Amino acid sequence: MSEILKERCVGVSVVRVDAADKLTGKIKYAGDYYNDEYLHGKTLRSPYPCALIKKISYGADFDWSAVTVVTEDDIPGENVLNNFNMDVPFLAKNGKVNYVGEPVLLVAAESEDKAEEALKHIFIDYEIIEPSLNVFDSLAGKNLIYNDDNIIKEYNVIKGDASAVFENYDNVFEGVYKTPYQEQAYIEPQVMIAVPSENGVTIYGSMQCPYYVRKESLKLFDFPPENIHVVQTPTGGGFGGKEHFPSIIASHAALLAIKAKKPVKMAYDRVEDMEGTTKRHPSIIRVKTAVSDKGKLLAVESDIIFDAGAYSMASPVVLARAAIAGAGAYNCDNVKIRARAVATNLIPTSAFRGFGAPQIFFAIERHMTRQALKLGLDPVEFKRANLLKQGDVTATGQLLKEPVGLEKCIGALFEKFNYSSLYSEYLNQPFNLKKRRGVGFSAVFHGAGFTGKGEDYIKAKAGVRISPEGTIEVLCGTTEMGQGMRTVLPQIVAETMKVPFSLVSVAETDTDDVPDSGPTVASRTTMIVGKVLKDAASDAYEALIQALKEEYGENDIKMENGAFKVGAEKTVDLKEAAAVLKSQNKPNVYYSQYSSPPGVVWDERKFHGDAYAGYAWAATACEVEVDMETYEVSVLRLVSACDVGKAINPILAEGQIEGGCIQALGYALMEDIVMKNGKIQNNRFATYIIPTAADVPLVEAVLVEEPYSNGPYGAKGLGEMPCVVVAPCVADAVAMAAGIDVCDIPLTPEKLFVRRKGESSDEN
Amino acid sequence: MKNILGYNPLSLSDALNVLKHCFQNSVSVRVIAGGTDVMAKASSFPDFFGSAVMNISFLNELSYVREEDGKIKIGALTTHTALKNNKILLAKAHILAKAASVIGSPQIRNRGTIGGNIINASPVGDLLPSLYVLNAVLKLQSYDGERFVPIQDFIVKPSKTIIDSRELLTEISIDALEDGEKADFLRSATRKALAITKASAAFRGTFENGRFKNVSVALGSVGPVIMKAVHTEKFIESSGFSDGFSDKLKEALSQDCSPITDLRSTKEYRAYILSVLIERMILSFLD
Repeated sequence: MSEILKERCVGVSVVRVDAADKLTGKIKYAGDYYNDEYLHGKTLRSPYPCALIKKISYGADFDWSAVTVVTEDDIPGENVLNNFNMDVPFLAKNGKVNYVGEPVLLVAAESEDKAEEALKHIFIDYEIIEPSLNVFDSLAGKNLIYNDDNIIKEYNVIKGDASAVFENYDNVFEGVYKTPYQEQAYIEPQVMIAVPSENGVTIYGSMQCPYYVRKESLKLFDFPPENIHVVQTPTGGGFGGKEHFPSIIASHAALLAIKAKKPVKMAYDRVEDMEGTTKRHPSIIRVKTAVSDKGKLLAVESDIIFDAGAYSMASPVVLARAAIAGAGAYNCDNVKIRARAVATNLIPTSAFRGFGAPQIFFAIERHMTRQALKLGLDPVEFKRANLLKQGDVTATGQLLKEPVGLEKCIGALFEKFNYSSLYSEYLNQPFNLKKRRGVGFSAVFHGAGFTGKGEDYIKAKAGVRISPEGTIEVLCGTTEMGQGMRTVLPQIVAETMKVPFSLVSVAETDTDDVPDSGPTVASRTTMIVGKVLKDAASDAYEALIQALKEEYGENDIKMENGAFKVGAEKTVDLKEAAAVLKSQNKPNVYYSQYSSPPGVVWDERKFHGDAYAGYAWAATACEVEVDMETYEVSVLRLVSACDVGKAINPILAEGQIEGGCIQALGYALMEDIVMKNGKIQNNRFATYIIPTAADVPLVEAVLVEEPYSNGPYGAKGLGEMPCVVVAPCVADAVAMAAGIDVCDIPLTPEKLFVRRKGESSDEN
Repeated sequence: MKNILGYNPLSLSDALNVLKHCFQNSVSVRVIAGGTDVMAKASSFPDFFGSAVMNISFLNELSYVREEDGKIKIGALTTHTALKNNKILLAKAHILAKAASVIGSPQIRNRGTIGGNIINASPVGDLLPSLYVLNAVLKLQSYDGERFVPIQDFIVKPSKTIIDSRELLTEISIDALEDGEKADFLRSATRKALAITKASAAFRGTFENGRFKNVSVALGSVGPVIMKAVHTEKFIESSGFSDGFSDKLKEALSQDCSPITDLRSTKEYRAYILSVLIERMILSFLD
């Protein structure tokens, strides 16, 4: 590969390094690890949404000698995870279960069948408590699940005086928007293997955040920190579902393994994974706007309610993103946002690609379209006139000093997608057509990295190591989960050190060897960890140059064709240069650490200031056709223009956009969780319907590059944004085509059929 | 892991002898004819396989489509892919080929068989409505005999047929459509591919002088078994396709089936979409 990449590496679509092994099935996932010594762990779960555990008994007719059982009593310290609001237990706490599927106790046996058999011989007497199965019952205090008000977190964002505008203004428009659960549907279910050692444990598994897993084990056991290490196995997708949850499964496996003194593997099958792990928060969002006669957005009010389920998990930080985007990507002087995450006796909701933003942008974007139509305005013109620009101030009071790529995105989008002519054409199509078409448009931002001061607390650390063989290893604690990190980060390092890409690779993700670079979440890996690595790579490069200067007494040293040119004659390759470093007793590892760009101010208490150091922007348009007899929706075209700052690897960037858009098409059109008495009914892929290739159009990704000053080569976060921008755009197009004023997703034929019947008097 | 006996007979007579042996020794045996439904069921029902399994997927002698005595005879192990591409079916029973073409994915169509689809006896089975209107007769063979049963007498409730543990379904005999006979199969499903049916309908009838006669309609996924729509058939035969046709069709259909709400769809949408599907077929014949 070195021949392609002698000069430049960033901006080149290098073939991803793991492609061949993944395509051929050669790569070994955690589920492929098998060993006769393994015990297999299983979880006994609550069948009730809320109940007291009165008694646990073990069948006398069963041989328990070969089964390890772990209950709450086996937890060495406090039965609560170190993360979140300190409310999430490892196993049902204080004899109470709070959702269907909550882990109550654990067993391990020599085979999965044997462990399943053991579960059937454990009997629990429950005293059922009337559950609260929706946010309104919870807010009314039907059953107290969290504190004395069931509110896990509340944010209020205030700018100007929205209430005063609404009071003095007749033309106020209000709408209520609803979004469903969404299941991450990673192709590899969750798997963890815990191997006990003398006074320690090693954990292998599918995960996004090895240092989160390590932190929980550190809390759980009184082992010396150096005796706990975590190795990420190749991970078949995460989408947020493997951000926090693996910490719980790993803790379960470790508790069993340490008690049994044998390695324990816990592999969820699809049903257990779908019933037992976290999802995207369902939301109910009320939006109110006032617009001047000239079409200027004067005031926005959003009341955001997220169903957090029975425990906090990541709800507070997910909700933060929704609150910050409570006025969408619009410039508005008067903003009032109230956001609440409400506890219910349902499966906890947590991280999922987009992290609170898909919900709020669905509500705001759909509302702005409806507001425009109400005023007789063209929705795109109305939106464009009010979108944020460089120099504007956001809802949290952040002055946008960096360039805002939105207009560039919209320009690039409409070059590919002739929105205005399609819009007028479809506006005038006869209503009695059997198939009607519509177009939609939406615009969003996504703040990359952690919210507010988050990145300052994390202080991501990453480094490069120059090996004696003359190769470069990237040392980072973030993970490859399908997004392309193992290809993109080496591109940044190779470019910075001016060495061939083939000489750079990422070290195995093992907490014994790599530093804590923060979690692999929040679209932060390329932008934040990439920046840290760029700095580290610069230091390493300078160190090599300095060493060679000293060694050869020559000041004219530069990298050419993958080797150092020393003076006019001599060439020193990386292996020789590494030997020089060693001979001079200089370090071969160079770390760097993230620090926020200067001038970033954030007041967590008031939720005011610079919510994110950098923003990525996206604009999307789509064309749909609705069969007016069956109400089936076909998306004919979807074009998404994303300002990514700099596409380090354009094909991988386009892949992120295509994949994210398709995941969002599922969200917009078909995906939902069906609950009955708090139990998930559609717990497998036969009943939880996600799009197939036949259900989606060719997604056209347009890369817009408006560089971010503090990103590596200008790169911004990208991974989540496509999941944020699509649903409102599709809903607009469906509403236009079908003549049905939709305010909630998914837009199933069944739903459109009912609305059509109910609203037939309003059509067109 | 529980041990179960496995049989891989290489001929039909071997397979029938296995069934005889198992019967005589009181061994319950699960027959696999492709396995696409069986494997899904086995993951939900731990004891689904019983104590023995016989895989007949590779009995090539039961994979064929041929014309005989004015009927079309289909070997029970003919795959959905083979049905979908078969020239005889495309010419004379195209509704069965069409039904086969919408099942599952290419991988499932390559493995799944017509015999398996029938024995699985799901009200959702996509081949079944077409088989009902084509008057399918099933040949059930055992080591000491054979019998012939019309499909509507064979399937009694979801997942339940009258097959005896000594018997194999070996052949399906269907009508060849006559020249000028109109027929179609349409379905509504949860997505565009790899989807399970929400509601489906197969139609067959002769159109003469502005009227249909000999109409046969079978409905899928709107009852415990495939429903023959006798009221709908009578209504279509009597209809002049003038104003109010849609409403009267819905009324007739409501007498023929009572769909339910489940994870795939609602009873209201199912009832509605059935009338759309049937109306679509009829309108296409009138064109």
